[in-house]
Order: sequence, then structure tokens, then C-alpha cells
Amino acid sequence: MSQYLLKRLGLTIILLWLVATILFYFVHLLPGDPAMVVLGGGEQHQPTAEQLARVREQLGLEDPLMVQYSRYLGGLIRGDLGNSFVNQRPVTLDLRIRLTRSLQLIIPAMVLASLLGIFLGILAAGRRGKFSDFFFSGIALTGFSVPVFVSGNILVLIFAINLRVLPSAGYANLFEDPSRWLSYAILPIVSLSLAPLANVMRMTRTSMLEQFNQDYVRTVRAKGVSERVITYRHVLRNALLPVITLIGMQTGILFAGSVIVENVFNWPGLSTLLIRSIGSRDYPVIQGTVLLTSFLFILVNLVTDLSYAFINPKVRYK
Amino acid sequence: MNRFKSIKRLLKDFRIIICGLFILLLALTAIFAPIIAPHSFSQMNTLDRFSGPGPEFLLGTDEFGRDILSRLIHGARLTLIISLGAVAISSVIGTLAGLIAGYSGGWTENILMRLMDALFSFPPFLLAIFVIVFLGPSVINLILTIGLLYIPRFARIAHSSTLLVKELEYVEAAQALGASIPRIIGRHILPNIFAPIMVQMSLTLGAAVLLESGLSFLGLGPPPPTPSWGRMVQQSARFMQMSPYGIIWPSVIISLTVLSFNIFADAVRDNLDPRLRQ
Repeated sequence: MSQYLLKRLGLTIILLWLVATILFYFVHLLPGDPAMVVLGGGEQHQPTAEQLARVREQLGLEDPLMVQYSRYLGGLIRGDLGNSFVNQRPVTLDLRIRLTRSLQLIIPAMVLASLLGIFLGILAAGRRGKFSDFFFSGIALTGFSVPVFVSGNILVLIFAINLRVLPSAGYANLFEDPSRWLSYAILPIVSLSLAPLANVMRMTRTSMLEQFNQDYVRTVRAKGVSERVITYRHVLRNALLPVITLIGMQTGILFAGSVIVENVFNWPGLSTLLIRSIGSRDYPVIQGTVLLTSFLFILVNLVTDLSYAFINPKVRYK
Repeated sequence: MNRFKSIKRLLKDFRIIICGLFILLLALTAIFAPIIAPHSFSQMNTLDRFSGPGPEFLLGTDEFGRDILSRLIHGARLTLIISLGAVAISSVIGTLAGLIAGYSGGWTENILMRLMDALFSFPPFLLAIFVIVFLGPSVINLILTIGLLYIPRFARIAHSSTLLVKELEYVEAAQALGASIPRIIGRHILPNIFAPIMVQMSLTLGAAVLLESGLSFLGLGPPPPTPSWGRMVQQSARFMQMSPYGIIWPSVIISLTVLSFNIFADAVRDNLDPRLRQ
């Protein structure tokens, strides 16, 4: 187990380094001069060559690429992502505030999707070929085919415009006013959870059905154990392994979905920051946001793999 | 051979027929868009803003009085060009990388597959946003970006399937006969790993449509006046209270398109994978 742990940790560190490096070279190899952005250069306003040179000097853009690269990596290790071009504030400061708000949508959506998805998956597998199986499977297929901005807008149309029971967009602080927070958060959470819910449900169903065909199930059944006990004690335990991996992989979908959901519901999280900084070409903020989400994505996958190993003795004792 | 048989089996599945027909119809619509579209996609009829479905404008008009149906028809072009182009790139490069990695093993395999892991560890949508912001949202850039993002999907599937197939006797026989490596890979391995790749192609097409419409929704799609489904949703969202049609029709068409690609993939998998066949 400890050897597996070390190997997996080592791989993760290499992966983090690769991602950071790719991102760095990406920003530097692409056309566009950051100094122009800092000076607000555009078609109407052309900064002079001296101004440009001075800002480039300040930003350290005149140094050799390797020097810039090691400075960037060093900053990363210390948790320093540089300052915003627009308001000169440290990028990490804004990222921290925004991330907690984004997680207020992502974590509940993840929990909702996992629990409900597994439950519906078990239900559908138990009724294979019957109407409710087709019904739920059809809904699930639709669930991950409908874009988040569509489901989000449909929810707004129903609950905010027609029924007028929930606000259509906005944000309230979770810690100061939880009930108001819930009224704002519920629609984004639901629309965010639909796609992962559908995926979890489909995976649970397939995985359960595969397990039901195994020999051990026949043996248990021959012993006269009830279907209920077979389902929950034997099949479900084995069937959940691939589902756990899948749930980890859903974080990518959730982060992607949150970009759009925050946009639809005007939620001041990471993504709204990203979109705003795209508008102002604020490269450090854009880079920081993508880096942070990728890191989180990788770390969540690490945790998933480790918990998978912990649950599955086959991996643990290898 | 049984390639004929499998095509015949596929055509018996009603899901394949229905989704295939829908996709074919969409493709034809996209190709003949200027001929089929009843109106111009950009002509503004200021007197007919927000009109509902009727004989003149079959699906109604948007906030500028533009015909929604004609805009959807032209939008199909953009969506299909981008998703087909992207999937063409990712499937060819990804499959090739997976085949080479799986067949050669050793360092080549290690480097190629770790590279794929790295590419896979970016949340795709964010990476797409990132790249498009820097490169600018032209059709070519969108195709290249989305294509790049989906390479690992194909590489992983081709890699794991190749590992299974290359141990089989007929591959060994071909090697013993002195067949060249490209011939072994192309003639003996590729045809036998094609089914899972085809399923992945259909799934990825669905994902690419979602990604493209999501980017357009955020305003990172090809710039106006080219009509795109995602941007139609975005622009109409503000006017939802005045007229829901501007947002309903593009939403429906995006969802149906993605749904058909996904159902198509499901059906192909069910029919070609002997374990799932009932």
C-alpha cells in the first residue's frame, strides 16, 4: 500500500509540474504583449516605446525565458501567482474568495449527484427491461445531453418567471444569511448536478448489471439469500468501485459546468472572475484560475484513486 | 466476412435508424443551408420583433425580428463544421498515438501516454476557454482547440485495445510472416479495435457540440454575424420574459443533436460489444 501511495504521489507531482509548465509556455509563446495590456493599449491609445519598455522591465519580461520560468515555478511553490494587471492585487487573494463561493455550488451539486445518481442507478438496475428502467435511463441520457445553460435557463423560466417562487439570479453570503443563500443557490446547484447525476446513474446501473452476472451472485442466490440482501450486501459493494472513480472524474465536468452556471445565475465565483479577466485580458488572473482548477482537478483524482485503492483490496495488496 | 453482418445488425436497431436519420438530416440542412433557409439569417424585421411561430416565420423571430428558423439552419453549419473537424483531428491523432504506444511499448509508450495524462488533467472546458482567449475565436482555432482536447480520449481507448489485440495469434502470425510494422498496425490491429473507437467518435461529437455551444454561450464562439446556437441562447436569455421562443428553439436543437450522438453511441456499443448483446 505505501509503495502504491508513493508511486501515485510521485506521479501527481510530475503531473502538476507538467501542467504548470505547459501553461507557462503557452502564455509566453502566444502572440500578444502583456505590457500593452497593463498600459491599456488599444486602437485609440498607443503607449510610447519607452512606456512599453519600462513596463516590460517591471514585469520581468526582458529576462531570459528560463529565468522567468524558474521565477514562476518558485512563486508557485510559495503560493504566489503574481499580481493582477488590472488592479495590481495578488491573484491568490481573489482566487481564495472566489473559490469558496464556487465550491458552495460545486460541493452540494456533487453530493446531490452522487447520492441521487447511485440511488436511481440501483433502482434502474433492479428493474432491468421494465418501464421504469427505460424511463430513468431515458431521463439520464437526456440529462447529460442537455447543456447546462439550457437546463439553467429552463429552471429560471419555470421557477423564477412563471411560478415566481425563487429569484432568477444573485448571491447571498452563506454564513450571514443561509436561507437567502439557499434561495439563490438551489437553482444553480440543481442545474449543475444534472449531468454528473446522469453519468453516475448510468455507471451505477451498468456496473450493477455486470455484477449480477457474476458467479458469486449465483452462489449466494443458491444459498437462498434474499434479493434485497444480494443487492445491497454483495452486488452494490462491488459495483460501487467504478462509480467512485467516475465521481472523481465528474469534478472536471462540474468545474466546466460552474463556468456556465455562474454566468447564467450571476454567481460571483471563480468563473465570473475568469470571464471578467478575459474581457480585460488580465493574463495572471486567467492563468491563475486555469491553474487552480486544473490542480484541484488533479488532486481530486488523486484522492479518488487513493480511496479506490483503500476500498479495493486487489489494489491495496499488489 | 462478418463486417457485413455487424452493419446489418446495427440497422436493425431502431435507435440507430432514428438518430442516424436525424444526424443525416442535420448534415443535409447544414450543406444546403442557403437554399433551405426561408429567410436571410441577418435580415432584421423591426416590425416583427418577438413574434411567435406563424406562417411567415415558422419558429418566430428574435429580438431584432430575425427569423429564428433561418438562423438555426445556418447555425447548424457552424456547429457541424466545428465538431466534425475537431473529431476528425482528435480521432486520427489520438488513435495513431494509442496504436503506436500500445504496439511499441517501452519508453515510447511511457512518454506518449504520460503526455496524454497531462493533457487529460486539464478540465477540458477551461483549457478551451484559455486557448480561445489567446488565439481568438475563429472557426479554425475552435476546431484545432477542441480537436486537441479530445486526443487523449482516443489515445487511451486505442492504447488499451491495442494491448489486448497485439497478443492475439493472428498478430503473431503476421509478425512471423515478416509483415512490416505499419502493415501489422494498419491491416491487423486497427480493424479490430475500430468498434470502440467508433463509439468514442459518436460520443465525442456530442461532447464537441456541447463544448462549442458552451463557448458560444460565453461569447467565445465565432464572432457575429455568423449565427451560432449557443450565442442565440445567450442573447435571447435576456428577453425570456418577453418571448421564450428565442431561447426555446436553439435549446431544443442543441439538446436533440447531442442526444442523438449519445444515443447513437449507446446503440453501437450495445450491438457491437458481445457482452452487452442480449
